[in-house]
Amino acid sequence: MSYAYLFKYIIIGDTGVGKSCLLLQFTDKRFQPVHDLTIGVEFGARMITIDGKQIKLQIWDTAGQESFRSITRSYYRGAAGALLVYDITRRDTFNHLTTWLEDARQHSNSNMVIMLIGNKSDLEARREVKKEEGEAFAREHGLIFMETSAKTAANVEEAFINTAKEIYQKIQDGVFDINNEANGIKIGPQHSPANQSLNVGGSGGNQGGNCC
Amino acid sequence: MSDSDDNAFASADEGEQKTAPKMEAKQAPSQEKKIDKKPDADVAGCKGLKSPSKSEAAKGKGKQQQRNKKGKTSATAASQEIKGAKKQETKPSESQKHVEASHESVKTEKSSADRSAKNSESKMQENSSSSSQPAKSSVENLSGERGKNKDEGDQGSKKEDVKSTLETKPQVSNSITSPEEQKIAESDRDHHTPAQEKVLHKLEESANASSSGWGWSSWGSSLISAASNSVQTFTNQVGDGLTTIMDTVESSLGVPDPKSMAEENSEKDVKSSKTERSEQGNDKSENETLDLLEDKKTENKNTEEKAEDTGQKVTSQQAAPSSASNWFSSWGVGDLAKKMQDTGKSLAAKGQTLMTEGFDAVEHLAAGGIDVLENIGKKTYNTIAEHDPAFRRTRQFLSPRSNKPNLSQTLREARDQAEQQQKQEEAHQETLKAHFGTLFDDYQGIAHLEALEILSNQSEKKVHSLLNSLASEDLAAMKPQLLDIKNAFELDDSAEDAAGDQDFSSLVQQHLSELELGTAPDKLNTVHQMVQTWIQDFDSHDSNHTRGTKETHEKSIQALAELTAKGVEQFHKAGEMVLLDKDKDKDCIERAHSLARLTGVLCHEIGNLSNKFAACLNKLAEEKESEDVTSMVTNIYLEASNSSTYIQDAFLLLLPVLQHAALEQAILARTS
Repeated sequence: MSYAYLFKYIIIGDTGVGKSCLLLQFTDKRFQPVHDLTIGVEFGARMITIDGKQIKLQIWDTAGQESFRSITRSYYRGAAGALLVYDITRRDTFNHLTTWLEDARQHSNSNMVIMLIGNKSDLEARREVKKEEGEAFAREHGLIFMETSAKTAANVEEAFINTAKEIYQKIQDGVFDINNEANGIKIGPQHSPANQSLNVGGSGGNQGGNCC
Repeated sequence: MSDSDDNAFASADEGEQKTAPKMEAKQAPSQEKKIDKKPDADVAGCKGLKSPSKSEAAKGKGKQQQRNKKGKTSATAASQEIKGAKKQETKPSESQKHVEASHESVKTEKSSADRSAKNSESKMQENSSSSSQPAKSSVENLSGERGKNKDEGDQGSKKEDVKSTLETKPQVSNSITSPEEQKIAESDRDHHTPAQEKVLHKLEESANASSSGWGWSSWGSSLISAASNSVQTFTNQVGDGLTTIMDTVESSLGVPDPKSMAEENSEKDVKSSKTERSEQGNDKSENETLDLLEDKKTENKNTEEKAEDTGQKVTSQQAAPSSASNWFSSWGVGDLAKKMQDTGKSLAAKGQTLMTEGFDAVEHLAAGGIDVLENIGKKTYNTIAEHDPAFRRTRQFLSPRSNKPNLSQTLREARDQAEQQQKQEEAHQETLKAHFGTLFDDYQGIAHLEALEILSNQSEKKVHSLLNSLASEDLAAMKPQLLDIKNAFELDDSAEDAAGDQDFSSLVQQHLSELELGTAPDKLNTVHQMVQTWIQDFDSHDSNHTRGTKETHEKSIQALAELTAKGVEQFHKAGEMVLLDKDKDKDCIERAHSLARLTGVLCHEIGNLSNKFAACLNKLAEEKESEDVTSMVTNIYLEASNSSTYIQDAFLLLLPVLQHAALEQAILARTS
């Protein structure tokens, strides 16, 4: 269960857009049509692999209710990635995105990777927000965009993993200081020590190969 | 090989020295006389070169300079470089880049007041063509060596010193030899100047006389000449190929280990005086050769320069073997020398052919490029293969570690290691199953603790800022309440001692309802219920327990971790609700006491459960007497205390939260 990195995510967005369902789909691969209201924050974790490295995603699923805002804001700090979720069948959830985005930008570190998610894509008949609108909003604010369905699991994996890839890329580019845990990234505990003798043997083989 | 040879050389040397009074460099004149050639302007240069060597100037630097120059100068030097690289760790590519710069560097070194350096420089200036640079560099090297030799103190036996230095670095000498020879051969082939042929002849003779293994150099030189030419054209690519060529050549000839040679040499140092003389003779003959070559220099300056270079190198090389002749003879030379000679002779013809081919190839290099180089490499390979069947010696040389594991061995080891790693991984996973910290994390206990910590820190800051903003009388009014809350967070340890059964669910329910926060103890009670059921199930079997000690241990740790995580979560939720609850009627002091009691209940239950699990383990141990459960029981109690610590930490984190809530309530009440 050792990992190379741990990324802290937050899931934010209006209440009832399916934040907890997305998390449940991602961590447990199941869908729960009736979900309790989230109190404060709930947690989920899952291991993924990027570029051959084990990465643990520690996801903070915040309460969407307005009354919890003052508390959930506290949890933004120290997140490496954020999933900003709206409901494609409810235009008001889309309209509130700007507020959420301002909130997130204000209370988190500037390098945080934000993924805009239009959830409930399975309810095409009740769609109120066009995909193009979501794309335009994401483009305008420098976000990654995806439409997902926590019910059918469409794009759920991709949403989490693409965010992680973006974070990983930022690490590779040196944007994130991985030693600063305020960035939401932790370096994993050291794995079992590498096999020295094996490496030595390999180099010996290389030498042998050179002779001819 | 023999003392007589040495003596002969020595006498010749002496005679030459006497006959050369005018010259700055005694060696140069002697050479001239030997060969009976008329001195040239170049000859003078040669003398100049050698004279500096006598001068003491080039002391410690001599060696380094010479090597650096070697490395830097040229394609020819590439081979040297390669060898030098082993010792000096000079990078060939770098040196190649600096080919042009070599000239300058030479001057700089000269500025260090080395006469030899000056001479060499002057030489270099004489030879202005770029291709001549290598030759110069080698010349410099040589002079540097000599200077060094002087330093060592033997004036009469400068050459011997040269040899000794060479001996200490046999590879260097070898490398020197090979280029020189190749050049000679080259010149021979190209121009067929009688003088050059003579030189060649002389070289062969001297080689035979000193039994220094001229043979190999003569054939190897051909290889290298081809290679060096190509190197000059394609310095970069050739670097690698040349290395291979040189290595293979060396290995096929069974070149002795430099270290061993050096050691041998030092041992035989006492006898060196005679040898020195003989070497001097050799050296002179070589110098003669050089002079001769210079003499006959006509149209092809490059070739001649190379030849000259060769001549000097020859000197140095020859010097090495002859100085070594003492020890060579002492250890019978037999193996090495014979081998060298035999191989050399037999290969001489081959080398010539090869060289011709190589030369042709070089001419086509502009068009053919690397293909031609490859061709050369293949030819070389084949030639070596003929005289080293199965490349046994080559392989031995290239991979000196005879104990190097073969492929199957490596594979077997790799497989074993992979298996071992897998086992370790499995064992690791096993231990994780019973690792409290990991399980606690898996149940999100750490996350809740972290979130609670965030809330706590924020509340603490808020409390401070609120206290600062309060008027003094308001502060005085608030102080008792805050202190009461703080007192409520003073835990008494007495509760933990009583480890009896308690109605956990109802107690938790009761305390949480006292909080009046609307949080349900569902998760806590569910977990507790599960654990209780497991223990009851265990107890119901008086004997013949199906569960092993390991499973029981895992279960107990897992139960503790889960219960603790849920407890922390409960505190976290309570903290959130306290902050959200704007009801002014709720007394924060009461809530603090309720939370304290809840903490007591949780800790009590942890102790109670750990006792039960320990009892289960002991029961199992009694049944299966072979198993030792002491460590497991100890572990359970350890993690139980760990668990209590987590719960108490979570509880204590609530203190600022409650104070924060109390302050806000008071302020709200005041304003309204």
